[in-house]
Amino acid sequence: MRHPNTDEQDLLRRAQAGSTGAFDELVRRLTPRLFRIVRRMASDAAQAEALVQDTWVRAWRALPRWRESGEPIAWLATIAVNLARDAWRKKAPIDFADLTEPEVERATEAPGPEERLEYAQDLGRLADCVQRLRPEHRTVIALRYDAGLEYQEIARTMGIPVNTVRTHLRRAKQQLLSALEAGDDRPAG
Amino acid sequence: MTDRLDDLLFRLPDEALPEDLIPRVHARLHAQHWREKWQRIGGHLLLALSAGGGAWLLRPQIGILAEWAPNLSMAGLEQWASGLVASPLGTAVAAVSGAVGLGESLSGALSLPVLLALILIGTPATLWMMDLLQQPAGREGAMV
Repeated sequence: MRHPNTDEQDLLRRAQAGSTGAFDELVRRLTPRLFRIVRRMASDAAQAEALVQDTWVRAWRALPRWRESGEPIAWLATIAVNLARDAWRKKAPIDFADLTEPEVERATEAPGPEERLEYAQDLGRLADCVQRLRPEHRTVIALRYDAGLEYQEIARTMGIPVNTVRTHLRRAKQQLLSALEAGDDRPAG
Repeated sequence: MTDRLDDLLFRLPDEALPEDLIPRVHARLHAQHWREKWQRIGGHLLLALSAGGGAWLLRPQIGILAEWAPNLSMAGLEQWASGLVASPLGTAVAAVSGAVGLGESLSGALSLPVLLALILIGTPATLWMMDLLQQPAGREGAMV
């Protein structure tokens, strides 16, 4: 069980009391994480950037309704997921085209050069596969692995039961596993 | 394999944060604050104009209210309070008959402009009151 980040909660409290400076600081601190989550959900970088901006504007408007429970990033993710849903409704299907090449440095835990290369290739293939998952599966992956949220928090964020979160995650991982085992990067849908 | 998949998913490559994204968010938020501020000022101005217009329409009735104004002074209130202590029933009856008298005076003058004036004054008063009640401490509310 993680504890909410009290620094960020304090900034949110101050922002709620009218401090635009505190809100600006929150933007500086949380935008990198928010972008990572949103980028995993969005169809391209431009849409992700627009979603991040819209999320912050909506968060500012929703500040009076913010209650001190859970991680501020989970609250932002809820707003971002709702905005992304609206975007998906307007424009479907979503094309996940342009995530950058994987960073090979991230795979340094593998012992030998061959394993490292294989690990990096798996990461690259997996990233491609995730981009091609259905939006709800991609969102669950983003919230679980990019935002690091617990199942309960994901359920709250997406407005669905915890069991549905588990189902989405299980199905997403099954599709990803089959794709990795088959060595195919165009499996899911 | 599931453990390996979990490990891989936690290490998925992510795109670098665009350098100008945070400044762009700040700029958009500042534009939003500026817009909200002027909307709020505009809203208050509109409500103040409405209340002023209502008061202007009520000018002919000021005479009736002026007759009652002395009763609303501190001295009048003290006199009323001491009267209430001395003779609660008598004071209450007097207050009710006084209110009925004022009502009759006003209803005699009740007309479309008066009704309009009451709406023009009552609406901003209600909105200001709601705004005061809803506004969290320290944060300016967006009334309109």
